[in-house]
Amino acid sequence: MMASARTGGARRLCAAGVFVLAGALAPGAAQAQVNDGRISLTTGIDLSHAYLFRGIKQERQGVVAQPYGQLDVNLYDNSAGVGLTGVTLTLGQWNSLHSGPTGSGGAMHHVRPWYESDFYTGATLSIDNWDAGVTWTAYTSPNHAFGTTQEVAFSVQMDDTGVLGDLALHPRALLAIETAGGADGGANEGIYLELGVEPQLGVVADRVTLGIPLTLGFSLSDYYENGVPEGAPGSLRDGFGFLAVGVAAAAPVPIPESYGAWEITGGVHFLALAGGYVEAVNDGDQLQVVGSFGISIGY
Amino acid sequence: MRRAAAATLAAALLTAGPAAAQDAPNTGAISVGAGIDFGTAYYFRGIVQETGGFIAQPYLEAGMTLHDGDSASVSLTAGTWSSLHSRDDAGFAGAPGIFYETDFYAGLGFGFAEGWGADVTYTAYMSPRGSWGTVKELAVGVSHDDVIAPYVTLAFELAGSAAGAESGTYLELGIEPALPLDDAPVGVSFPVAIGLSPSDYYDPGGVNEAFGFFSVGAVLGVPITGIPESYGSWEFTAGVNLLFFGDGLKAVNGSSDGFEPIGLFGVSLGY
Repeated sequence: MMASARTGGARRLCAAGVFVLAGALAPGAAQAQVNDGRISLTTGIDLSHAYLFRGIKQERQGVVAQPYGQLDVNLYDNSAGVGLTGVTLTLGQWNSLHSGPTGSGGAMHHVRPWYESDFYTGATLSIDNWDAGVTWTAYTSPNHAFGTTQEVAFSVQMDDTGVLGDLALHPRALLAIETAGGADGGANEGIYLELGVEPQLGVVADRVTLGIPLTLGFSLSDYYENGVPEGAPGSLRDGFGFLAVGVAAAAPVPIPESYGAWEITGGVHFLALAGGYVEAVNDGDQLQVVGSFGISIGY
Repeated sequence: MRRAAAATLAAALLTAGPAAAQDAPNTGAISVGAGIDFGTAYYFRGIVQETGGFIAQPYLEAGMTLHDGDSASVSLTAGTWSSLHSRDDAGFAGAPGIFYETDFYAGLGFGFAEGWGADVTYTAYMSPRGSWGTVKELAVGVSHDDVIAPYVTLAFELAGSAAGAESGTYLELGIEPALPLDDAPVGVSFPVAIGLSPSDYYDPGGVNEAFGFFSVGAVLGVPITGIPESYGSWEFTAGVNLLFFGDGLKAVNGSSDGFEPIGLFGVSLGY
């Protein structure tokens, strides 16, 4: 299953299932200078050795490749003003291709590596230094590894640079409500809450940006549960899902401007898992370490 | 399966109007195309997919110019195309009922002097709701930019099959003459195509049927002028396509009808 909904910036906030704020970090991720219009495109691919979705293990073997594409339409732009400064409509698609067990079996042998394909659309309102968004996502599995989950997510993100300067935390929150299916494979649709911050630091003459993302994932209702009725023997359900902390770096790639703004990203992330269900789906592990590498184009 | 061949009309919808992919706000080497089509039926290269309910076919494509010289050009294209149907069928458990098809494709296009063009495209045709197994295909095409806009497409199925048990080879010959309406605010073209099976593409009962279908249509493209240029070039398109099936496709489609009219309407964006 794919990542949380975007909370601003020009791309999804996930690679390998952990939260890499590459789009928000990268100095070159903004719309390319050769594109003066109201439409922007973001595309890229992330590579990893593992994929966890909100703390739920999807794959830990082989190579995980996650290509994506996103189109943003800036419906309203008053960035020099106050109050409502922007309205953006987003449409995108994200995939996860696996060489490990989840990408090499099953009846759909012609498309075995295609573990996941997600479609999402949404809108973001920019109000002063806040971004608030709503996103609908359909998480599908072309190789039929899981049934489709549909979700509506509300997000809010604050740019606190004006208040804290270089110490800005870039706080964000996400509330995701499953409307069909479930990421946990349980019996009920769930509600997920995510809280995060990501202090950032410019290094190497500000050409490389380092971020320290910290994320907390919670189940407000039936998000982490194994489908066994509550109170029955074997029932597992958690309120707290995971704590993730990591280091993420982003640097621009020197490509001619007419091809947009390219960047490479990389990071390593540590996930602390707590609770019966989350530990069970992670093979009893309470700690997962995930490294990722990616390249993206902002145009 | 895939816009360029859906009822042979969708490709014409994209090119019938004057909307250009590279307009004033975008001066770089990357372009974007997007849109949605609505049809009364969906036939892929003459093979019936859906004839009832509501059919919506959204798509998104990005192109990158790798080389643009005086005598030759090279571009890279990647995109996705989907067909959403209101009528469900028995897919796998938990599948999205409306998601009949999603295709992904990537390819290289070459432009040469005197209007000649060539392309090679890899496509994965998938059914997210599990109506059929995935088909992978490699297609090569040649075209010429003149008054009748002739083209030839040869598609090789690498895995799976659009019809029948065996992977096959498909050949399409077509033209798309346009009315010379230089100063008119609309574009009108007439796509004509013949679909053939050189090898096992139309093979009901395991026997190859060389002739698949003949189609002829008319497409009207109308630019949407009220949208600011900074949002790209938008266009309404509408058309009708008449399909005539050979005996092989009648058997594949499980129908004795040798004729099917299809109406299409769409909105597209070039940026």
